[in-house]
Amino acid sequence: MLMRPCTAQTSSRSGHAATVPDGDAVRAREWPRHWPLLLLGAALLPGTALVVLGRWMDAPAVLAWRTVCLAVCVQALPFLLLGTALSGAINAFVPASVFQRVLPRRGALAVPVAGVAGVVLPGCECASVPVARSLIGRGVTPAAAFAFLLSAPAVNPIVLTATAVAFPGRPEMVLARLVASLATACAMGWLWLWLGKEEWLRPSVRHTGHRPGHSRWAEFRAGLPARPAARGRVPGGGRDGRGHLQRRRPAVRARHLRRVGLAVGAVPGGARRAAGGVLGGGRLRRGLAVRFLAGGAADVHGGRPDGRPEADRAADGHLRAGLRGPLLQRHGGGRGGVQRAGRGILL
Amino acid sequence: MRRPVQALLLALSGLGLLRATLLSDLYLRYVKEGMRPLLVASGVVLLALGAAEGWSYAARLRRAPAADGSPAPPGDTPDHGHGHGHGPPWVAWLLFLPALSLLFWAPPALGAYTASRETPQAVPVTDQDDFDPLPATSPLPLTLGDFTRRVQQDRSRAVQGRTVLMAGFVTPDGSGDGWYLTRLILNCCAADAQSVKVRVHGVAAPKADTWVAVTGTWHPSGTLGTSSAEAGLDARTVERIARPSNGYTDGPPLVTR
Repeated sequence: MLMRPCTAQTSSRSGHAATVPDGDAVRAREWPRHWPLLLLGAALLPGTALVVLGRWMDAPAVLAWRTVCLAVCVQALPFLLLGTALSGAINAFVPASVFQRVLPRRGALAVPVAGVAGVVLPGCECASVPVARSLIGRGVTPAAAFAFLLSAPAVNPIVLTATAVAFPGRPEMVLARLVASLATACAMGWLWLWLGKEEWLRPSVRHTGHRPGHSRWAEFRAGLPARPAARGRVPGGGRDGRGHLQRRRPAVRARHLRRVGLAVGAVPGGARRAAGGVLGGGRLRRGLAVRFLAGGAADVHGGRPDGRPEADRAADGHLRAGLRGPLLQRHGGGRGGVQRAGRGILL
Repeated sequence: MRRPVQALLLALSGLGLLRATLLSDLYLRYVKEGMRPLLVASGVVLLALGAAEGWSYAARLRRAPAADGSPAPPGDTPDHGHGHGHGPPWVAWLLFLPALSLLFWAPPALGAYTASRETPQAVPVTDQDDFDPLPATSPLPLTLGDFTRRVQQDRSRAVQGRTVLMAGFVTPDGSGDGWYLTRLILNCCAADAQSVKVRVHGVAAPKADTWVAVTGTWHPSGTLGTSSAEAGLDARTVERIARPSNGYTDGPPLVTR
């Protein structure tokens, strides 16, 4: 009898290992049955794989493929960095109101404006992708951001200069390229307005824009696509990615305890047991009533969209039958009375 | 991907770029020469980002030593490894491939394999109407593109009977006999390389991808000065040279006699 709680504890802590009978545990520590074979395989297989893979990797076709892949990466890297830094800067330093002021409210008009805005971004599409993503995150119509995404690599100053160099003495080529690219971008943007679906270009919640009280540097970093995405992912969550609730836990706890205290006043007995009674068999865990968690915590549905808890409520809002009597006596008769009383405690 | 891994990836990418640009000419295998300052700047930025990331991670570890035995420091991404779909996707691991490849296992410049897979006429040779008179030196250093233009477009037939000197790498003909003197020309990076080829007659093909300087005269085939003329050379001498540093341009041979 004495042993039982002890074994229960160890088995719950160290998993199934402690529950295995002794004989099996000893055998598990012995060598595997075909250990020389296994050892040989472990020695030979990786080497063989390496040699075969190495020979394959040195075939002319594979070498050419590796060169091209690496060349694309190397060529794209500076522009990717530029675009990433720019999108982070937009996130941190350009207030969303600017976009609302600059871009027409109607999507059909915003598309060409965004397309023309692509002229100012030097670089290739590697740079415009993160920027367009950041724009969507700041509330710009996806169609307009899409037009920007298409026009930026095609009509920026570098590309136009290159066109002028490639066709010396024929400035109409530069103009043609500018007009054709803009027209294409706008046409695609309008097509997007007409047929596009919201979920095709999912906005990134990380691009929240500058919020008072937050460091711009942190927001710049958060706007970089390479950041750990969990930060600030939770809508309305704290910047540390844990949501508001955990940060506010002391306050929440205080409120809970106050309410529990109210219940204690209503029901005689120890505070904990009383709280448990009010909660319909719930327990206190780390000072919080388990069934009493506020909306946002533990992903209970019903949290407010901004992440703050809805009015705190029990996960199962019914009072135990045994409580009805005392509550009824205290708060006056009638069903409504019980409900009101319950509300006083639970809500 | 955990934060230290991200820091490592950033630092490795930065180191790879710096190695390819500052410590060697590796970058010339992949991109044009003008990219160098941009690549150096990117390498420095990436390395600094990686160092900052690692430093802030280490500082956080130090500030909050794992008191309760849990290794995860506070403020670290609370959901990594749980597969919530947050954090960089697994594809991000592929970014290690270019970084490590640049550092330890850089593939060679494109060569005969790529050039042999393009048709001989797929040459980036522009149209030209008026040609300057050729200098009187002999042998006359020419680029492959210049030679092709002279042969196929120069009505004055200035190249007729002249001994020219050209350099490129060897691309064996697919059919087995004959070979091409070849250059690959970049527009942006190695991914869009185009080849210009001149067929060499009269000399057995050296090993593929060797760089050679060839002297010779035009190989009469078709009417010189029209597009029916073949860009071919009756080779007199073939000499091995080192790969020029600007191997992806159609430059004249650097060897002089």
